[in-house]
Amino acid sequence: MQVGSQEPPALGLWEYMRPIRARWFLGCAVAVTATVIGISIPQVLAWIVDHLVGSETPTPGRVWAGGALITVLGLAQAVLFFVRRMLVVDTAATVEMTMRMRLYDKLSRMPVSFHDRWPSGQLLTRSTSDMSMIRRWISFGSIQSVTSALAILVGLFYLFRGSWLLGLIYTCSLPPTLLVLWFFIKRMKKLTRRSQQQSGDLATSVEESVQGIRVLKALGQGENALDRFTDESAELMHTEIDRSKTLGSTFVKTSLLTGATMAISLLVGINEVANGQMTVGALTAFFATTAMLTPHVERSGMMISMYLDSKVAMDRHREIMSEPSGERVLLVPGVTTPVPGSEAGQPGSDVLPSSQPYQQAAEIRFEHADFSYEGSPTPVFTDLSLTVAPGEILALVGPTGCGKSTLLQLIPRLYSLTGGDLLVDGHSVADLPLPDLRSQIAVAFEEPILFSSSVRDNVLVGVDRASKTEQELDQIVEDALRISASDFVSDLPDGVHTLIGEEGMSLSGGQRQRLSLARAIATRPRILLLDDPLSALDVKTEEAVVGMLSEHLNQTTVVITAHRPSTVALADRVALMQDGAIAATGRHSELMSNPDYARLMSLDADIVEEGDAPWHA
Amino acid sequence: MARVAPVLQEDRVELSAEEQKQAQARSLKLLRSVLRPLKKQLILTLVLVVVSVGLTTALPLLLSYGIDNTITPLMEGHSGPVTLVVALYFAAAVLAGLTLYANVVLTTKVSQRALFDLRKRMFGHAQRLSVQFHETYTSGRVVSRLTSDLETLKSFLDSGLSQLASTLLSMVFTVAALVLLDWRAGVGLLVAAVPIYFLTRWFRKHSALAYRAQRVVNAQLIGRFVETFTGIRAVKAFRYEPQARSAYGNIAEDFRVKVMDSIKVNGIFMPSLTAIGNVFLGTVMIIGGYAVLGGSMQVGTLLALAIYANRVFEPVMALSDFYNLFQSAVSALEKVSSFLEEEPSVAEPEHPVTREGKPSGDVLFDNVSFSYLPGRPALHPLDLHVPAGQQVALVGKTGAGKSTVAKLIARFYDVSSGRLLLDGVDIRDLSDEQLRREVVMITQEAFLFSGSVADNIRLARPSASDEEVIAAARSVGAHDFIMNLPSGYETNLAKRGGRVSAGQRQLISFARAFLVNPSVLILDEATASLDIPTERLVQRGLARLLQGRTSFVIAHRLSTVLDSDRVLVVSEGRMIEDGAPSALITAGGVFAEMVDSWNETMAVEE
Repeated sequence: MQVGSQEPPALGLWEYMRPIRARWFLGCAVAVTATVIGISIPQVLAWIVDHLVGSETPTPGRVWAGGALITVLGLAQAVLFFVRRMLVVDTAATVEMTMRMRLYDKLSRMPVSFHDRWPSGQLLTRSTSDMSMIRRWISFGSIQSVTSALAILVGLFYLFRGSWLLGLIYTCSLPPTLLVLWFFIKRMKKLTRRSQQQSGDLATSVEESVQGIRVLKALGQGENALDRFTDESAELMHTEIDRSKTLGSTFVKTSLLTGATMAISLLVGINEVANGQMTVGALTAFFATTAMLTPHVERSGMMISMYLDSKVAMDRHREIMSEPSGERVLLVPGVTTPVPGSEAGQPGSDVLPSSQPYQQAAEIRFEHADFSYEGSPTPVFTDLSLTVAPGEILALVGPTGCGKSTLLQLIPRLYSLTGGDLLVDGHSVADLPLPDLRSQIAVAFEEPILFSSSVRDNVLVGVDRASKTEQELDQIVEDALRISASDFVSDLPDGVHTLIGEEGMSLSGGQRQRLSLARAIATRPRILLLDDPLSALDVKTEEAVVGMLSEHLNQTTVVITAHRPSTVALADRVALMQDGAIAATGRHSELMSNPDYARLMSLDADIVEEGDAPWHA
Repeated sequence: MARVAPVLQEDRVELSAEEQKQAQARSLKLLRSVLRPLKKQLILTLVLVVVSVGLTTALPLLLSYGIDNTITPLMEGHSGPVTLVVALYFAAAVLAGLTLYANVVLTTKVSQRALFDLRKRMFGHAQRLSVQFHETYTSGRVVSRLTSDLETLKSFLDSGLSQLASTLLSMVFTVAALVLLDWRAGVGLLVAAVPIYFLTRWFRKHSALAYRAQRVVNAQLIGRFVETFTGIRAVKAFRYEPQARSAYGNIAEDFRVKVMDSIKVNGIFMPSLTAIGNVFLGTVMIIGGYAVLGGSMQVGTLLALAIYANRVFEPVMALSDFYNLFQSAVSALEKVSSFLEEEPSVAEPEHPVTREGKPSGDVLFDNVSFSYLPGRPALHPLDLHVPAGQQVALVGKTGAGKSTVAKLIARFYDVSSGRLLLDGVDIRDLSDEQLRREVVMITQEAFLFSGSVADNIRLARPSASDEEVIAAARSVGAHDFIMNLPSGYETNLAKRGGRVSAGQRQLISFARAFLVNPSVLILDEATASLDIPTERLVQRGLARLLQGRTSFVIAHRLSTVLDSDRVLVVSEGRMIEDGAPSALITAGGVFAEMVDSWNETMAVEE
């Protein structure tokens, strides 16, 4: 695919269907043929009936021929149905897969600020139920719509051929039926939305009542919570009953319409037969045909709503896909240029020795940097300048919410500066290719996020595994786990091969934090960013980790945020952040004369261990 | 052998025959108890189904009767018969529509009533179950019992049940009509039933398998997706995109294959059914044609035969669809019923002691012991008397048993032996409502509910006036920050209190406790997650809160401990030191060592 810029443009459904269009058309043609065959069967019935009634000497030959013809046509219809399904099904699943992966790639490229804006639940709906909605529309709904329309046309043709008047009566019944269905869909959509909203609220109440169970129990408020929940449940119940009333009244209306049409047709038809304007066979065929057409008509309501739903799903898909282009990151292992369709020779790709870790430490320099979050009127900081020398360990200290974490996340460009500049070894990070920049930096987040994989794989996530032997990798894992005091790993059922994350064992907060730290250390980065990485550890473990870190981090530039004096003790230098600026820098002892700093660090220490594991577990 | 708690069974895939029987009996019992009050409506819906399906089945018969028996009279000038048949047809159609309406609405009412009842029972039960239960049975599972499992039951009860009845009836009526019109058609139907039986059996087996496989992979797909994008910072920071993508891609491919498998099963089943149906139709036409030739049948009846023959296999398709629905409903019902079977380990007293006025706050542990698991005591027999108004600090290592002591006083658990008396009354003899007015526990996690700040404070005492709420907030020092929020006390807190800081959350929970005005207050690591300045902010509120009450404080800051009237050092479920802080330091012991090591840390940092 030739698409010029670094990302493919947002596609419509028709373009997504390009590879399967031929099969889709073929499937459509087969389905139409099958339906036309089906709707023709009543004509054979008429042929038999007219022979039996109209002929002076009816013979069994015609009965046999008619029966055989119906059987043959019926079998042909079944075979064609089968062919249609086999033609369309896997192609639709393939389109679904393509769209799903495209969406996934797009989301992988979007910067963190995008993900801040979009709750993951929203994105999830777009990648699951929306996708299967679209698949069902391609493989079933769209084809069914075409065949139903044609079935009705062909059926009407047969009806008119049998009796002009009866055909007209039936045709007249169609618009009001469709109108009833249309109003039904509209009303039903509204009620369904309401019911979904109410179920959602109910689920939230349940969630809160369970997660807040200790509070509710401690305050003895279980009964009151139950009363509120009961009220909410009652509302949902009433909406559901309204829904059923809508459904039921639509049944009444359609059966009234169909009943009236059939009754009138019977009256008119019998008169026409009595007057000799119509044969008995044609009248029989009329009723047999309408019996086949009615489901098609009734299904049209479902088709319309399916079309609307898939259109909404498609719009939502495009809404994401047409977001401005994201980051240039690697999506396929081993491919050094961003895929797909990226330009070669990005600016600055030759500036830094790329992804060779354990090189000399890097220098970090903020120059008059401004930053504010997207859509937020108040900047996190303005005109901030700060230099971290190669190999230095700098502690960032400041009150909660002062922007310490934000500052760290700017360095690997998880967010981009809104003004000023940020330089790594004198090169502006905005000019560095992201894969190169990020390969030199490792981060341990306060909220440790691990992946569904083994402990070993998690620790080696940032390590270039291709260039190392298994023994070297084992050594890296061992070292990283030792430095981060992750000795609990040896107690896990399969040691370093234990599966963790969404699909594996769940670890405690402190354990995850240590693994997250091990992962950062294992990459032997030029820059190590530690965002309050020891907050969930007890004092003794923290002490041990701090000791080992200071011993091993001599070839890395480290920026660490911390609350506790014991963590700050690790640093060569401390920067105090306050009101969106660096208020002071210096050694811990020097800064203690600063009243704000002293207030943050002072006085009380922890005497009781805060457990990092549920103590009675 | 100990009885396996029903809720723990649900994790196991294979159940023994005995257990399966129990699970079924339990489910049926629950279903019966939920539906019993709705018996009349249920019977009425059944009657309605019979009438509605009967009328629908009768319509083709009326058509064929009209064709056979009204044309000749009309040609002879008698329009009576045709008018009668037409009128009957119209009346039958209208009546069928009306009964269908009544049936749909009534079924939904029955199902929604039943669900409403179940929801209430489940929610109330979840609230009654002990904290111990909630600690082993994760919140996610409780939530899915109350939401997705009930949703599954809803779709079965709402549409499944009545449709099942009408589908089955429609099949029975249609078969009956066919046999009545021509017994040979009935024989043909019997012959066709053989391949249909095997086809359906094949389909049921394979579609259930394919369906389950698809659901398993779908769950994986969702899990991976959520993991990647909730952890997008780590993904980006470690350039994990390629690995994440290939893992996701593999599952997506697997999902594609599973979806195709499941559709292919349908793609074989449906056309096969059509084929059998159409062969049957051809056969019936030949049989009917011969009957007409022989004079035993009129031509109009051929129409009825054709319509019925076309219709008779429709229910088979619908029934196969219901099978999956039915299966998930059964398993949901099993889980729900086992959840409801779980007995609350902390039960309400049968004859609660009523107490006039506020107790003084005198707490007595009379030979109290406790174990979470039988044979592994968490608290060894303890005798302890805390006079009213005393501030007690509980000190010890993680897992030593401090929290156990605290939770026993709050009756999150019941003592295993001995008695725990509050002003001379065993707390097991106090109604929950009474106990919660007398004892309040505040934990590290200050959970906020969605709603306004005022709602959250008032949670403790829903009848409190606005003035009382504000007074409580003032007392603990929360008033100022609340007034700085966009809409003051009416500010809607985002989900889980996202928009206020941890310290502010804790202040709100103090205000809650203040509003209750208990005699005994328990603070379990209530300030552990706060940084130093925030904690200082909270300390003042805390001091106000503790004034004049008996209190048990588990804290990690030495100053809080030193300010207490009395320190209890707990180790391995035993109380090893007890006394005023100064006395313990002088005596030299575990507590004195703790204080020493604290002083050393300070020296290093200075």
